[in-house]
Amino acid sequence: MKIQTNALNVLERTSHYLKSGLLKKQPLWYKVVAAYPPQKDLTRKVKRVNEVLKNASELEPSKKALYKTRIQPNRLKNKLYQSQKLKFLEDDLRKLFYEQHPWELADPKNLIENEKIMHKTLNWKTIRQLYVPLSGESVVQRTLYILENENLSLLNAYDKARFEYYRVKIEQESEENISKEESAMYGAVFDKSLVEFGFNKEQEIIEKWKQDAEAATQLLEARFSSRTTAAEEESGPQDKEDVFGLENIESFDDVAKS
Amino acid sequence: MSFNKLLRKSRLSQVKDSNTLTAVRLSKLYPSQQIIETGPASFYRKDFGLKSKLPSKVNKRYVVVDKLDTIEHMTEFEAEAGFYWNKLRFQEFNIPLETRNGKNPLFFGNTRNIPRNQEELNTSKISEVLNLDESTPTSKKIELLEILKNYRGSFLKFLSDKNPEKLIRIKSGLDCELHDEITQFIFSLKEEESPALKKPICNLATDKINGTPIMKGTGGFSYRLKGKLTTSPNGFSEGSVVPARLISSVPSHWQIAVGGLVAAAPHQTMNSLGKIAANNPGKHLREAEIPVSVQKAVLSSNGAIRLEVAGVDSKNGVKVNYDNSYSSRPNYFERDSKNTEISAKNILELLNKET
Repeated sequence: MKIQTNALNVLERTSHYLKSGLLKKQPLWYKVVAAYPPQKDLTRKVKRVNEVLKNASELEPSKKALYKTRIQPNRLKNKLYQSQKLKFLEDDLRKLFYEQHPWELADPKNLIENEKIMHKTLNWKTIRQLYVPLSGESVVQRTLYILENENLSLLNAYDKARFEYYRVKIEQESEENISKEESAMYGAVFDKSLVEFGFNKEQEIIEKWKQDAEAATQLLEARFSSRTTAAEEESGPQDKEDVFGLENIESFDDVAKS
Repeated sequence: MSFNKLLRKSRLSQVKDSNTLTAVRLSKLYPSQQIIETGPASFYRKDFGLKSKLPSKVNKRYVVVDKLDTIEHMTEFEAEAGFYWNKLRFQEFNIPLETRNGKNPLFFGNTRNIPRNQEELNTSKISEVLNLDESTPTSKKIELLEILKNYRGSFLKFLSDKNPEKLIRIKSGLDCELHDEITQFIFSLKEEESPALKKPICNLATDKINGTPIMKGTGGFSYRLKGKLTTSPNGFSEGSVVPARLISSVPSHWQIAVGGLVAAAPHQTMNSLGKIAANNPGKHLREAEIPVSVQKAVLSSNGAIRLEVAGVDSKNGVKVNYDNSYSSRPNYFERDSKNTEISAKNILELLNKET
């Protein structure tokens, strides 16, 4: 179906239909809409950057000190249709946690929803959860649980959850290291470490850069030499000036003598 | 499920909004946006769980999203996972991240900066205790004044308990200095009694005056504890030897890149540059692999991670002494494991002789 862009003209169109006899009876909403016509076009259109800037410049006071006194219906900001701002305590706690621990943002997060997990009610009695990976969100949810169930202030609850998180993280990291050591002791041989892998990747790029740079240098040199030979041919070899007086000196011993 | 519940439970809501300062982003000292990954099946469809699927040309599994929706109705993203690899590589160094505080921040340190002692409390300004600064709007100030008026009675009671002499002076119309009492009183009120005196919690993580972050713990970089040794079939070791690369050869500013982080190059390495060049004939200095041992990593106040590295003699694997301000610590355990190896060899030789 074609996008209905003329929703604002609904009254106009209906009145035409009534006049022509296409509609025999006035719709119930007809008088109401006539009294309170729609002021905002609700269809979503792609806004170009220039258009936005143009509108912004209109809002600025004019240089001639003349101001718009009449409000046009399409310029009127109607908050009725604007979505409400949602404010949750979680957002504040999340912001605080990630600003205090910016490197936690470096742990990748999977945003693909899992319906089975989504409908589960999780009990945040402990910070460890079976279905949810440990991340900053665990601290946020645990803080909310402590706030509800324990008699602590918001910041104290947050700090408690934060230290619990640290503890579990320390445990996880130690376990990972120990398991790696254990497997090494049992004879496991590991492939290249991540540092080495990264180093080799860099090496590849540097080698490529070196090849490109060499090719570019050769090209430059070739151009330069062709230009100089062309210039020599034009001016002739006899014009070449001996700036340093090198022709008269036979060897470096002469330089030393002079 | 209501929309409210659905939104709060969604994974998308767990992503911190990326409204960070441009200076922080450009400095690239620490991440400012959440790295988003996707599973193999979803990646095949380029579905990252965002507003819409990403273009089919995207060939990286990790992306960083700037804005979920823009005026062009498109998601702004960038394929970037450098900070993630930095974190993983740092774990291979086998060293803990140190902070400037004396106590281990993974076990101590509250979010709210409580004045450490009475002196610190007395020297702080009343405006500081009230969380007022130049940016506070006038309406907020008027609101605070109204609230403080209600506390007049309880303040007089507080004064009569603490310093009754001053109360008498006030009553008799004489001047008297009340700064210390006021700061103490307001601080005792804070948070517990009046929510209006509270600082918004999301503002606690940045120092408004300097604009620097107030990181807690290790800033989430590493949770390794101090004093942990690595056991391997060759014995104990502390730290590990990793390949590095010389990135800046300006004489006063030698720098080495190790595992995606930058460190000041050890002097010994710089002295043996000729040797390095001889070992890598026909190569650019940047191509040379320089083995180093990462000694120490410190989280500085601006959020950057500073590494201290020591040179390693590539022939016999013994650490070279380096002369700089860092506290050089002999590696006893490595030496011990070497001694045991030597003694074991000697014993074997003796046994062979007897037979």
